[in-house]
Amino acid sequence: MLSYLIAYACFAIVSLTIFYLAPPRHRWLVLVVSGAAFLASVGWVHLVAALALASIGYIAGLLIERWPDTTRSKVVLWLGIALVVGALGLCKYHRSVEYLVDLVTQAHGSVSFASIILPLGISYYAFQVIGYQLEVYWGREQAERHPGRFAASVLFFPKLVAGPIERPHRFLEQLTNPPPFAWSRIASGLEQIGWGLFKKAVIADHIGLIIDHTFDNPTLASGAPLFLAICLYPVQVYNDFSGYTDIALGTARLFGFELTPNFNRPFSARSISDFWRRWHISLSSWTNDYVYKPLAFGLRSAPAGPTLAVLAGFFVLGAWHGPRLTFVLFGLVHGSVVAIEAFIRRRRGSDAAPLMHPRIANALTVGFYALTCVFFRSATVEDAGLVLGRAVTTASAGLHLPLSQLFELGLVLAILFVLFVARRPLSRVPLADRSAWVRWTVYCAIAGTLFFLGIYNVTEFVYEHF
Amino acid sequence: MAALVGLVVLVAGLGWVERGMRRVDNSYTKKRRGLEKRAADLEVLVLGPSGAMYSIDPAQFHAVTFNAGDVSQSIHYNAAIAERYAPRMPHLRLVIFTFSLASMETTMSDGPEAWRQLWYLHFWDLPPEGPLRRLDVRRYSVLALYPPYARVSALVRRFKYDAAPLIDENGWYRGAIGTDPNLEANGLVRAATHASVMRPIHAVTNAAKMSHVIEQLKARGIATALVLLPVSRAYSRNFDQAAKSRNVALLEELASKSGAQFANYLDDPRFQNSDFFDADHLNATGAKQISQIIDADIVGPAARR
Repeated sequence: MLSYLIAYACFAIVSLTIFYLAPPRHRWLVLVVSGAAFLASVGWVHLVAALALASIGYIAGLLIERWPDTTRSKVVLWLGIALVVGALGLCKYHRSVEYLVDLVTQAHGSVSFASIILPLGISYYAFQVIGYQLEVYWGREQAERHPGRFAASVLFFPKLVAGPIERPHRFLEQLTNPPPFAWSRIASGLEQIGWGLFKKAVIADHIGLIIDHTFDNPTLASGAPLFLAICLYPVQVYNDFSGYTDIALGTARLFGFELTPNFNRPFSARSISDFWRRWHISLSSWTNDYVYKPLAFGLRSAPAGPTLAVLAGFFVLGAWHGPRLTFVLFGLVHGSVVAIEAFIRRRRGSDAAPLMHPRIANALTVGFYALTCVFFRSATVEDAGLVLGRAVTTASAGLHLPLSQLFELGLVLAILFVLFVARRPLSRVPLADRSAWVRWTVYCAIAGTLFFLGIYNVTEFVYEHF
Repeated sequence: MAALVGLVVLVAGLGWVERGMRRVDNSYTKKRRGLEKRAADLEVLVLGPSGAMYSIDPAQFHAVTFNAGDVSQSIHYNAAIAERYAPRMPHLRLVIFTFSLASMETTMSDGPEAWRQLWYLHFWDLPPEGPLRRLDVRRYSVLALYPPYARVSALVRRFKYDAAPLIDENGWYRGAIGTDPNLEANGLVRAATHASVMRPIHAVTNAAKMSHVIEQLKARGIATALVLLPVSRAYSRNFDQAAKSRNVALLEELASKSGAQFANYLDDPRFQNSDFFDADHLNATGAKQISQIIDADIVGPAARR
């Protein structure tokens, strides 16, 4: 990310300047053009995909609202969802489709979608469009009549790479009633972008240097390096993704928009259910609202209804990450634990005393997440089994890191220790109340550390690939 | 005021570090400086990817030799270095191009090591092999090229720092001591990794670049040798056999068409596992052995011609 900082900053500054110079009622156009330019810079197909899905959502929303509570609106809803899911499935899961077709036809290579690429951010805006159609169908929100504003809600560039999965109405309301320009908001946005860059380039990418090789070559790793990789991967993925989210939220704030926060101190969770209320909130709340709740309502009379609804929600959550069995297993394992936790809660009653000390519950939750992350990180189930198996069977193997990796490890542990002692996440350090000298000393120290210790060679975010 | 002071301090500090990092030595600066220092009396020039850097010890040759091979150095850069420096080397009579099994079907620009193009741009002043992003920070900052450990090490030593201390004055990497205990498993992984970045389409452009540079050298009376260096049995066995045959044939054809000497030591039985540092690189012992063999097979006969 640091390597592309100049490009990103230039793009954001130009968009921002034009945005604030434009009359408020035409600002949607700036957002559409900047989003389109952002996607077109990656490739025209990325822009076409986003515009196609935005068009489907826009038209479906209008038609659903035109024929409320009729079969026609239901048909439009399902058609709209099918088109979006179909496009997402074709782009994201085409290898699985090829495999299934081969399996059915008993022929190899009977269909090929090899030329299909995954459009940037499609997983995020496709879910946004699906959510929008359902909200309009249920009558909870009105359809957006202005095609430009709707397109702006889909193409808003800060959230294109890796979300958050925004609820369109939340964004559209802000676009309709834009807040006036305020320096305090610019300062706050820049601060959040700075924290995000720090998390990504100084914490996550340093951890990547230590553990990526271990996960990429599980047959070569053993004992302590594997154990270290299992422990550090959740920290890497958290800082990578929440770092990206901070950059997206900070950039959006520069434009006067508040996007959905994706994280709320997930590693302080005391159960897996609690964890998913704090981790990738925009996705977990999406599956909760649009998969779990409708299914739980539909299956309310079946004894296993709530459990099936939870599992279905977590199946979607896992499969959303990509066409790999490891992601599905990751989702289903988490779903099973959430279902068990819900069952225990129902049996014991909501006012029962906690089963264990909060710190033990927290340690178990984080430990469980770290173990299941092995499936999330590994390319195949066999690789995940290999990592877990070798971590146990070769546990006596020592940690022989080269000096450069020991430096990375020391640096990361030192930062994590400081954060642990401070007992607050990076983005919540209250600087606004301090004097300008204190604030700017901290800003410059962070920027200096970022530019001096940041990794420039890592140019991607983990969640960019989902 | 606080903001202004803070920003001035930050920019000045980063500027000072950037200036300091430009003085730090690395494999690229050492190779370029070494090559330019010896240009006047150099007789043999060795070019190639990491195989060359690890395996060819110029001290074993009976000729003034410099090893300008470097990690992942592609045919584009080998050709560019030869074309730039050959005219400045009045005594140069032989250029040895070493190859890995993947060399002919890979480029640096579309592989996982595309970032190395920026090092060639900064330290060799060589144009990139493929397109680079104009607004990439690393295009303008040397600080951004180095890993943080090297930055800190350099700062602690007030920038009198050598990031590649194991490269000797002849350009040979003398740090490959011992043998990887996981040679078998590594052979499988390395062979698969290299095969995954190979694109047969690159063979055409790489062959054209090689033919061009060989012609240019020939016009100056400089002989050329194409050398396929030894790899471990594990690597050779696990490498895609079709790709292996295809690439050996490509080099044979290139040599026969351009009149270059071709020497294939790929599965040479004189090399045992103990001669390898890892699956596809010789260690210091193996390097001395292959260097003496190349001296006898190629350097000596070239001197007599």
